[in-house]
This record gives sequence, structure tokens and C-alpha cells, in this order.
Amino acid sequence: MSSCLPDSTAAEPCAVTDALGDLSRHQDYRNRFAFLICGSAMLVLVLLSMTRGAVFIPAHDVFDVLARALTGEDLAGNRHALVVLHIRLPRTLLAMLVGASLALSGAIMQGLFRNPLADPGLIGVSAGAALAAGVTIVLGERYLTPLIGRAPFALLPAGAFIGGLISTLALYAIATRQGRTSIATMLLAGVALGALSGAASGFLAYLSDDRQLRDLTFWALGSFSGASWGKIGVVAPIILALVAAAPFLARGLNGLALGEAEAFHLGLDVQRIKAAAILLVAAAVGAGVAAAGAIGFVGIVVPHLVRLALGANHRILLPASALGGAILLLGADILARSVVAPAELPIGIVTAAIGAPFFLWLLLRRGGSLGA
Amino acid sequence: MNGSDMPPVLEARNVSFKTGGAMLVRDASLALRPGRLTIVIGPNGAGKSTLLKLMSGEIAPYAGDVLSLGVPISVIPAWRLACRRAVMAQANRMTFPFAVHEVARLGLESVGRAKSRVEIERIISEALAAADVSPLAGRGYLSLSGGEQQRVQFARILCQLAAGRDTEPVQAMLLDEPIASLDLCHQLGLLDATKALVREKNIAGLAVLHDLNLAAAYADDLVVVNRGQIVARGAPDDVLTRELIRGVFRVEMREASLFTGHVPFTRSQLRV
Repeated sequence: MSSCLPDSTAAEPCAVTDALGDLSRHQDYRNRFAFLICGSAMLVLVLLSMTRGAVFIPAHDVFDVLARALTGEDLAGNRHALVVLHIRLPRTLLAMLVGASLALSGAIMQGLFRNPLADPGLIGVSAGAALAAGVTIVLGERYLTPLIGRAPFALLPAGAFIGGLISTLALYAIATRQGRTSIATMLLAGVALGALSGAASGFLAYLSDDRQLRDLTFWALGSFSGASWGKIGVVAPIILALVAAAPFLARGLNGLALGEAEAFHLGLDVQRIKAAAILLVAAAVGAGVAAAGAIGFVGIVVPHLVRLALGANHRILLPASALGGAILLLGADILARSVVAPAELPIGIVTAAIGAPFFLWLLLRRGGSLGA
Repeated sequence: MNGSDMPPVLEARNVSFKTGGAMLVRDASLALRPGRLTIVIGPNGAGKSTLLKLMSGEIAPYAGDVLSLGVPISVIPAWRLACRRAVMAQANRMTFPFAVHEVARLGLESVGRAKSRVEIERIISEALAAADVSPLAGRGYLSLSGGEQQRVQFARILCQLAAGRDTEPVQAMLLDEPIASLDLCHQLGLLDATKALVREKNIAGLAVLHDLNLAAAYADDLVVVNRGQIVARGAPDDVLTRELIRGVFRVEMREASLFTGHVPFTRSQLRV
């Protein structure tokens, strides 16, 4: 349209194209810079995570063990090999993988619900997954073990996945009327579902023996102390599926930011995007809960910070959230095992201590509005 | 190509839509042809937006068919349909802090997937200029006024049309109250831009408006909807009579109202 602005501010079309080019180039530089900073921070944390702990292992020893392990050298006599290869390396990798998947599922869920306050931990999805994991531990051992021997680890993620999936689907069905998701309904229904799952988990505690009770407590607060290569083997494929789906999801979630009807007008297959998002979130939360317990607030803190720094475009938001989540959870795990060393805190305590005040700040900043 | 010999870009055939027991659209037929701007007017709750949603494929008719170039739109894949028609809905609320140029780019999210970066930047900058929002390109969408946001959404559908043109040369644009929050200059600007696009790119246009003067001034075909039914259609000066305005809008025109020339002027009105 012919400009309604004062003549001085109306620009020539070619100048506009140049300005737009400058704008997107500026964004590219900013994004690359952010990824560079985060990548470096992650390397530093990985180094800290590998060297600090009950025993301090100097960095050159860590590299030495890793190099020897990679070249297939015999490490039988090396006193650090066991700690580096079978305790710290899986623990470091698991913290990063779970952190990435939690932040990613937070970002995806927020895009799906079109609201920055959606988070698997906050709206009862993690609680549902934890309940299903608990059911698998307590009842699975009672009724399945006689059939298949000791319950394999893979049963837990499957149980947690189904729990997360049921919670997410129930939530979506309750909160969505005629294609519009009511955020107030979603949060309240999420609180109710979370409380229900919590009550059921509490009831499970009465049915369980001492060892099962310890396992249940572990799931309620979260920890990486049980990290193993087996757990990584279960979590890693799910993260890879998430990463592979990210470009498709980014496009869909960008469109959904306008609304479901508008996303359809843009030519997106809305039903498929929603189904993929719900399944992937349930899988990621289920795997995360099974591997490390219910860890809250990562999914809400990280995507929000990324949006503040880099904007809302899901093409950037999804990978940056994954990176940020890995950093946050790795950092939190290092804190969890160094604050009261040689004992360690459940990581859920650390993330809640960081996340809860952040969440309150978020509410205050939004003027108390939930964006309903 | 005048378009009268080919099937309409979008056509509703005897469509009805009901929800919660209420018949929102009843047995309505409407054909959109290339190069013509159809404007729909009618009181609140008459079924204008529902009719537009039926024609966009957003909702499925309870009875009747919606066709595009003779094919039922329900069998056309979403991306293909998106190449052929763009939709600007009423008031668009976003919750995430997208930048203005990113919102415009959303129009290319599915349709412009295969375009090169240079091409994408050209399409976006032309659309931003056409919607008079170029100076806002780097601003946050959420920080804009309602009228500015509406113009950015207009830029978004211009992007979608520009990108879809290679795949689907015959296109339609559906605008639901596109000027509701705009100032006077931008109301005229957006309608001028729409009319120019309809003429130059041979697009079939449909717009829902409330301002009878603007509707009369810009419409090739004026369609009046009341209580879910199309009650009048045709050239503006044939349609906008004192009797129709009294019957449909419950407003009595003063004696001084001018019905001269081919554009009726309906200011200075009295409630019935």
C-alpha cells in the first residue's frame, strides 16, 4: 500500500530488501555467537564434571584414560579408568542427554499449547510418568518378575512413556475446546492430574518393600547417581528421534504460534504435527523420568531464557533449548554432588531451587497474567 | 483470461453449517472468480465469518460442497490448498516474541519451503513494503499496536500468495475484517493494495467488511448476509438500497443521504 507514514521514514523498496538482509544477517551472527558461548560453557562443564567428585582426577589423566579407551588399549591396571569410564562419563553424558530432552520437550509443549508456562513438570506429565514408573517398579516386580525374570531396565522407560502419554493426551483433551487451548484450564487440570498421580505414587509406597521404597524416592526427586551405559542406550535413541524431528516440528510450531486454524491456512498438517509433538514429548519425558527421575523446571527455564535472548523462532529455539538444557542439568548435577560432598543432593532439589524463584519472577514480570 | 469460462477458484455450493443446534449458515452459494473482489457485509452474527471459514476449508460444511477449480477442497492436501489461497483471520493473538519480519515469513513456512534465501528476502521485503510495515521489520510483534499487527498479518498472507504463485497461478485471498483496527489512511491503503493485487495478479478476492461506504467503493460484487443466508448480491449500487439497509441493518437513512453516481454514500443515518 502507499505509505501512510511521514515522507522521511518511507524507504525505497531496494533499501528495504537490504535492511531485511542486514537484519537476518545480524540475527545469524547473534545466533552463532550464542551457540559458540554455550558450546564453550558446555566444554568447561564437561571438564569439571569429569574431574570433580569423590576423587579428584586431573584433566590430563581423564584425557589419558579416554585416549587409551578409544584406541582399545588395555586399562586393567589404570586406577582412574573405572571411575572415568564407568561412573563419570556415563553420568556426564546422561545429565546432558536428559537436560537436552527436558528442555526440548518443554519448548515443544509450550509451542503446542501456545503458552510459555507449559512445562511437563508443571502440568503433571512428569508426575504421570513417575507414577507409571512407580507402578512398573512395584507391581511389575510383583507380577512380571515371575514371568520374565528380573525386570529389565527398558521396561521402566516404556512404563514412564505410557504414563507421560496418557497424562499429555488427557490434558490436551481436557483443555482444548474447538481447536482452542485454554491455558487456565490446562494449568488447573495439570495441577489436578499431578496431585492425583502424586497421591497414587504415595499409595504405591505402602505396597512396596524397602528397596522399592528407595527407588520410588529416587524417582520423586531425581538423581544421576545411577547413571550407566545401559540407561544411555535407552535415552540416546529417543533424543536422536527428537533431534531428527526438530526441523519438521520447528516449522509446525512456528505455524501453530499463529493458532491452529492459521497453521492449517499456511498449509501445515496440523493434526500430524500435534500428534508428533505429543508423542515425542511423552517419549522424551518418559525416558528422562525413567533414567533420572522427575526433574522439574528445566523445561520452563531454558526455553524462556532462549526466547529472551534469541527470539521465538522455533528453528533456533529448539536446538538452543537442547543445548541450554544440557548445560543447565550438567551444571546442576555438578552442584548436586559437590555442595554436600562426599554425600550428594537429589538433583530435583537443585533445579527446583533455581527454577522456582525464576518461575515466580516470570509470573511477576507478566503482571500476574497467565496469558489466558 | 476473464475467468467466466473456467471453474471458480473457490466456490460454495448450497453450504450449510450448524453448531450447537444453531444454523449459522443456511444454503449459501458463492463463487469467487479471478480478478474480482467480492465483499461480504452483514450485521454481527449474520454468518459472514462462518461463510469465510467454510470457503477456506477451516471448517467442513454440514451440507453442501466447497470446490476449488471444480475439485472438493476436502480432498486437496493442505500445502496445495495453501499455495492456492491465503487467509487473513480476525484479530490474531500471538503469545511468543516473534519479530515482525519473522511473522511475515510464517506465510512461507509451508508454501515457500523450497525457496532460496535471496528469493525469500525479496518476497518478505516486498510484502512488508506493500503492507506499509517496512520500518517495523525488526520490531517485536507483541510490542505493536493492534492496527500495526493487523498490517503485519496482511504482509504474511502477501508472502504466502507470492510464494504459492509458482505452483498455483490461479489464487484466492480471503480477508476477515482486515481493516477493523486500522486508521483511515491504512484502511484505504490496505483496500487499495488488495484491489491492485486482485487486478494485477488476477486473484479472486473475498473480504468481510463493516463499513458500507468502503464496501460499496471497492466491491466488484457485493454480497449481503443476514441470519445465515445470502439475502442480496450484485453490483454495489444495485444492492445497497434504503430498503435493504433498513431491513438488514435496522438503520433508517436520512433524507439527506446521497445515492448519486454508482457509489452510495450512507453516512448521516438514524436508528430505526
